[in-house]
Amino acid sequence: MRRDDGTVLVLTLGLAGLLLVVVAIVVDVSAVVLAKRGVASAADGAAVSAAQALDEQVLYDQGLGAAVPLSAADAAARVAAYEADARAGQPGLELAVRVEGATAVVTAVRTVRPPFRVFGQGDVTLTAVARARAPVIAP
Amino acid sequence: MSRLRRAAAADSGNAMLDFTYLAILLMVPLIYVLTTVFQVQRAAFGVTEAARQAGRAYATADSDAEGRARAELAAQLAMQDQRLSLAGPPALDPSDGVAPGSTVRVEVLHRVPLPLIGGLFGDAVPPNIPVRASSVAVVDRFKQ
Repeated sequence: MRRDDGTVLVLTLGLAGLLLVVVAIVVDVSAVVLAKRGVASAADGAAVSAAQALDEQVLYDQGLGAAVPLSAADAAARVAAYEADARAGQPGLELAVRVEGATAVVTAVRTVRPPFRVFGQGDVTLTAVARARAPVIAP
Repeated sequence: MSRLRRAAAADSGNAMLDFTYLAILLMVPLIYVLTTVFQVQRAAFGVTEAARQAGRAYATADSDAEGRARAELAAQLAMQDQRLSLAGPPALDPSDGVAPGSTVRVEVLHRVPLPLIGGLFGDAVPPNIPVRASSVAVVDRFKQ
């Protein structure tokens, strides 16, 4: 006759261990997803801010007829200020802005470390890109 | 009856006992942890969205009072997506009200009650887990 004492013990312990690993994976994934949403939100907010960086000199020179471009320096300063504000909630957030005519393109990058790092999962780098434009319309 | 058979018969029902003990010792705390984790996760999704929407709602308002009312409504709507509701309005920290070009910082805090044992241990164990999220919104520079 085959000995099977203790089998239930092993099975139950195995099941409990498996469930704990699954919980850890769920927590890790949701932490990364939440961080990703935060990065996307910061990119959006920074793009909206950068889209206000109207090049006033061009506006005064040419008037409202053609599209008024953004000032790259002003946009960069606005994004830097936004980055400083947003870092209070998202440490390590990096924002970069590129001006394409009247459109501001903001790239947000943040590296996060999942809390449990199941199976040796390393740090995750999250990237989000947002574009915004604020056209000037004659009243 | 052979000795072997008698020994095997004495074992019957042990699996059931083993399982019952283990279920109480392991599974009950495990399910409790699972429930708590998912409650916190739900709240975390709620507050991140609430903070973001409250910032946008405030930044597009015409006055500070209107902005605060809109921010609270937006935050409550975002929390309702997760079947939760905020205890109070979101904490708004505007740099200069809704003045053009100013910024507003929003912080949303939600306390997740621990399942089943709310207040059971008095002040020794806080009966809730605070979950918070913040966002920054910029007021349009050229609005009227």
